[in-house]
Amino acid sequence: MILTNVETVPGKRIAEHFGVVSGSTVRAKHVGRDIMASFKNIIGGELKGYTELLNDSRKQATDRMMEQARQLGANAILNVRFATSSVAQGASELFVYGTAVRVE
Amino acid sequence: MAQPSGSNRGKEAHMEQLITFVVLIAIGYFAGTAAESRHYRSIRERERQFLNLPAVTARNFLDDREEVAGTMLVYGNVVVSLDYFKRILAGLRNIFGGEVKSYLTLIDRARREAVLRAKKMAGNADIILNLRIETSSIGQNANRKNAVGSIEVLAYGTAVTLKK
Amino acid sequence: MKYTPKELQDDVTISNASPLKEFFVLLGGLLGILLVVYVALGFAVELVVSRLSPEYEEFLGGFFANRYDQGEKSEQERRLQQLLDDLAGKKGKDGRRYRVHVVQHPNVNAAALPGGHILIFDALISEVESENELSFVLAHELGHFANRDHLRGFGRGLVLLVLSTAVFGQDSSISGFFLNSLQNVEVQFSQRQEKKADLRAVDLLQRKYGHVSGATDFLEDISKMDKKGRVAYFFATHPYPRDRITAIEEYIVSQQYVQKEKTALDPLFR
Repeated sequence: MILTNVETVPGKRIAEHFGVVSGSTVRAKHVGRDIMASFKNIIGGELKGYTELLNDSRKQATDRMMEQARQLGANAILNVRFATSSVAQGASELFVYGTAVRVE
Repeated sequence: MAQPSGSNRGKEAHMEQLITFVVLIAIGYFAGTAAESRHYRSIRERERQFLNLPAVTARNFLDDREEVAGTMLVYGNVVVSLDYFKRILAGLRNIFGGEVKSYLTLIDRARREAVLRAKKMAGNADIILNLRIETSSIGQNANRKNAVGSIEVLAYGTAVTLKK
Repeated sequence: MKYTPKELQDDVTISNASPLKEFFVLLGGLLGILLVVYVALGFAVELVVSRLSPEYEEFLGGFFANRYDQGEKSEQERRLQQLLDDLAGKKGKDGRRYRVHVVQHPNVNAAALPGGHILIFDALISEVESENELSFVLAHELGHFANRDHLRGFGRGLVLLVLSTAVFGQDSSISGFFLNSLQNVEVQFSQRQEKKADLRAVDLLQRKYGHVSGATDFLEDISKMDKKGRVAYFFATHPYPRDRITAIEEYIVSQQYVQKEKTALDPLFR
């Protein structure tokens, strides 16, 4: 599965498209991590726990999007966009969407 | 404390609170679940109806030989809120961490509904280009700790009608 | 561009797992953890309470005393203080003087606060019919001081509050729910304390008057006043009044205390 965030898949011809595919996940950090992060907020710097968590979640959301594309018979997803929102405090929502296509 | 006749009133208030809590959860669970499956049925049905109106995230997605009859900015929005049961479930998940599934279905429904509304606005267009989906939290609970407020999802894009 | 309309067969995002099961698993886990922490902190409070020096308690009591010590003592308060001093001795066993304050409050109740302060709500005074009955109420509070229940109650209440705030943040509906559940556990604990304080009060009555008449009067009043079922009392901090009366009567028999003429109530309290 090829993922791009431009209009085309460079070097390939788009044979057909299947419309929008998307994947999302909402993840919450456990209380322990929240507490650690609040300590870290004092000295600043990277919150490794959160980086990891968001990365994992984003990967899960992407996997779900690719699974949808596979079901439709696509082999590439164009113009992929990531969106992160914290709709519920303490929980992050990762959303990814793009256009499923079959390239040759 | 020598005796309670008064302080019992406090205890009974707690009892009432507990009962209210359980009742709200039960109502939330049954009503919420029923509403959700009804909504999903309706979403699937309408998605089938609109199957011939694709939306894509790309901008230049038309072949050169296709002639455009008209374009229009289309959008659809929807505001949804969690039922009581799911709200409590999300609150519990916030303590243990992990995927907040109860919340996921809500956003998923909202997104699909918003896209469907945008497609409905597009009418008999042939394609929606550069579809964008935005999510934001609104309502008084939006910024309170552990509280899940209402969410607005907005889907918008450019509907293009081709000359046949 | 060629478009091939296709329908998604199954939804990968949406799982079919029962949310109800998830709910109960999480709830159970949370209750378990909280209970363990609560019991552990309860032990810690117990340890601190038994070692807390009277000086420090006096210091804690200062916060309350400032609120109630203001202004001239009323006639009623002076008379109550006399009664209390008779019961406890001018200086208590631990060399501390207990002080009584009358508070305007519609509840028929009294309270023991750190630093040896006893609050009597004025609604209670209008209910009592003999001096012995009033003495029993005071003696019951003295019983709480003897068992150091007043500190324990505060300590455990504080633990509960801190715990729930730490986990849920202030003022969320789950926090309310767990506070209630834990309070119900707490209630069982405090019911034992009440019974213990009752028996201690009976001893003090016997010492002051030479008999124990009027010991159960107050509880009788209460049980007439509230016609609630036993179920409600399971959740109350105080045992069902009838149970307490029975416990007191059994104790009186076992100690061979006698009943005599009750002392009339000072007209001041009318």
